[in-house]
Amino acid sequence: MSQTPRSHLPIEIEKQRSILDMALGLSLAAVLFVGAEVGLRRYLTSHPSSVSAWLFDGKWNLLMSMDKGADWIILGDSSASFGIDRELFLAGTGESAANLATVAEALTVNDAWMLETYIDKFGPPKHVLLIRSARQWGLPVNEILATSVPLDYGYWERLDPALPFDTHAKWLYLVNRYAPFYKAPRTIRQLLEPPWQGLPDAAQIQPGGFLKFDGRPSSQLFDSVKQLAGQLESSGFSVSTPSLSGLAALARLAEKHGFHIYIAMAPVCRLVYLHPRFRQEHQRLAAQLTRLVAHSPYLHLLSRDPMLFTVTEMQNADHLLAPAATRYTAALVERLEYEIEIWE
Amino acid sequence: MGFNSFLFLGFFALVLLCNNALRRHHAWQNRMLLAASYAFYATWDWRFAFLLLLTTSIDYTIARLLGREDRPARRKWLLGSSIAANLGILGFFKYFGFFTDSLAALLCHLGLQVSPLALHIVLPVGISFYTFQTLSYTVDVYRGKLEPRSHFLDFALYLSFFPQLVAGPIERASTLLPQIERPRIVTRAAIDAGVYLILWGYFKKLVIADNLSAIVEPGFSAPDSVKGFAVVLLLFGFSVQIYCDFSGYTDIARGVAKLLGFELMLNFKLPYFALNPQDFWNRWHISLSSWLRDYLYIPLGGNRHGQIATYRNLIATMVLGGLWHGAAWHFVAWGLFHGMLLAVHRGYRSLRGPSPDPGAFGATWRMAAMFTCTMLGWTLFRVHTLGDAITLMRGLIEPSHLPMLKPALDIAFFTLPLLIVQVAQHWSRDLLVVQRLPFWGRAPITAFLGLWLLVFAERETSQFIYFQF
Repeated sequence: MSQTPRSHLPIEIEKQRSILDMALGLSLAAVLFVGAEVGLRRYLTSHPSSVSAWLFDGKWNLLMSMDKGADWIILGDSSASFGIDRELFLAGTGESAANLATVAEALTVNDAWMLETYIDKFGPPKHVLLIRSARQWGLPVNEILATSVPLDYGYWERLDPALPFDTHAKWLYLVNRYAPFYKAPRTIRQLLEPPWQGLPDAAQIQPGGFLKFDGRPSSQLFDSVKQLAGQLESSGFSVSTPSLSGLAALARLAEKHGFHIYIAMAPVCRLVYLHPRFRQEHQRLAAQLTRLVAHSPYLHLLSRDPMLFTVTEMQNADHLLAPAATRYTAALVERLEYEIEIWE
Repeated sequence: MGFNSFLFLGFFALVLLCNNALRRHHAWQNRMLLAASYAFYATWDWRFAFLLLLTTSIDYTIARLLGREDRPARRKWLLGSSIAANLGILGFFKYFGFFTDSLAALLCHLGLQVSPLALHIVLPVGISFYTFQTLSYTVDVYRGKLEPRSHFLDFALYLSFFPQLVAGPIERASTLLPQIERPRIVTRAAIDAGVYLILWGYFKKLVIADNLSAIVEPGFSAPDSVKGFAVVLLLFGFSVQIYCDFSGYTDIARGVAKLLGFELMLNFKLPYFALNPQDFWNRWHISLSSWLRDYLYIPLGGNRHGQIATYRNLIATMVLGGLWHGAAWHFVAWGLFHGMLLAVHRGYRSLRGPSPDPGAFGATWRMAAMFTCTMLGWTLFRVHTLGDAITLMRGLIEPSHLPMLKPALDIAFFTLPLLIVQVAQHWSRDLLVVQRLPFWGRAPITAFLGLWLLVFAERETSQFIYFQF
């Protein structure tokens, strides 16, 4: 079959190279590789790969860079970051506050880890406010977030609740820390693949960790409502095992150091609350939380019913726009004053 | 345990350490490699290892008997036994279902209702590759080109050597056995080339092939939804995918072998730069095409009995080559297509005589024409049924309503690094041209390959396409 002259075909010519030449080639490749990793790491600090990553990293960085403690520590998910009006909260309580609330997928496990880290640094706060959206109490551990905590190797066993990391999770921790190129491949692909759109600049976290969204309601609202409807179809609301262990760890910290933790329901879009299944599931979750907080004298559920907002007051199903955040904060501060009088 | 798994990396690191530790104990080095190769193969299914052992034992014994036998009739009988045993095993595992289904369909067509016999036979990975490898050994011993080996373990390693066991290259005993039998020295140049081949092979598989697979897979799953220019994109994407998938595997295999002190044959020589069908088969899956030439085409008569017989032999060889890939009619059609291309090209050449140097423009035009033919051939190779191939070809002349800029850009994005490297390889006629660069030129390429692997390697990697054969 093959009888034409084959002189035009390529061959393989191995080149004998000196050890020095090989070492220089490898070293320079390693320098370029590490340089690209460092450059990307810096870029991703100011251009987050996702809102979740930005909020999670931002709040942990805030905690690690705080030079003094606060009276109030606010924990929970992003509804707590967008839902509290900083000025109103400080004025209403008359005390200092640090909003360390991260994202839903970080679970109460991360809340407990942050609080323990905070206490190690500054001692116990006077009060803790925990705000989580009902639908997110039931989430499982997000491996990427759980392995992204900027603490030394082994924190998952040192901190309470201990979260056993398998080999893959340990590998992810190392990758998150030292190889950002591997950490968020989908995001980095967006950077490198055509049509080469850069990542948006990171929004600014206000002093103390508060966030304010002055924009208008967006299509995100409808997307998140649809997502919520999908979740209701497949499963209801309940407290997942990791969330349960996070809550128990928070209770242990409160009991050990003698401070109270107030748990608030995240704001809810009225449109969503009209859904009978949502209402039913929300009430079921509130009943479960009531039973859980009854186990500790230091845990208090502020209200079983959520505060409702219209679609024009919300950024998405969980995040409030700034004017609504003022209303939510005012109601929350009033309720907290009442509770503190009872319990403290 | 595919090459694209972390388990393989750990396994190979261990083998490399042992190989280095045993470098002064050649016999033990071979035993360790044999054990590692069987362990590697058993990770797919431990029963496959016994099948491999059976094949090894049959051909080892028959070759030994051939070595002692002078009577032609008896020698022919021994060779026939080996061929029957090997093709029998291959046929049972690979083609049994195909032939019973086809027979049932034929009888049904003639009005006889029979249900095909379903045995749910699992295809042992790599069986087509090692069957051809062991057949070449027995045939070469029969032809007197090779002495039968007395050392069973060496012969067992020849058949099971893990870098090339599951997807080739299909090594000849005359080149691999001597390497097994003699102490091996791993040179600095081999380490350098081996590491580069492994890195480049992983890049081709994990970055290019797997990403293109994600782009073209939906098109082949629903061929009636792909029209017009989208068909061209689909076929182009698959052409690059299958090349990168298979040649990526081969590069890794050859790189791994180099680090162990072995030199495996080149399996690809820039096939998409081929000028004509004959040139293509000198460049694509060379270990198979040369096997088919030496053990099928030439024994069939090759080009020694006139034009018509030559065309017949070419077509028959390629049809069987197509069937080697899989038990399905579309593979037969693919083989037939290439057989006809070869026959037409040969006929054209015999009419026109040897063609003069085409020049740069003429060569480019011929490459484009041959690449177009190759793409059309891949349609037959990739589809699930021949009907799908017809649907795609019909779709080619219909207007497309799908947005094509994004997939076109994605395909171009993933193909570009390959194109740059291959143009350099083509101009220099050196497949290791990157290694010729000074360290400051090589280093950015190495860093680029590493970084791109981190970002673009599909985390859920797919199996190598040729593992199914």
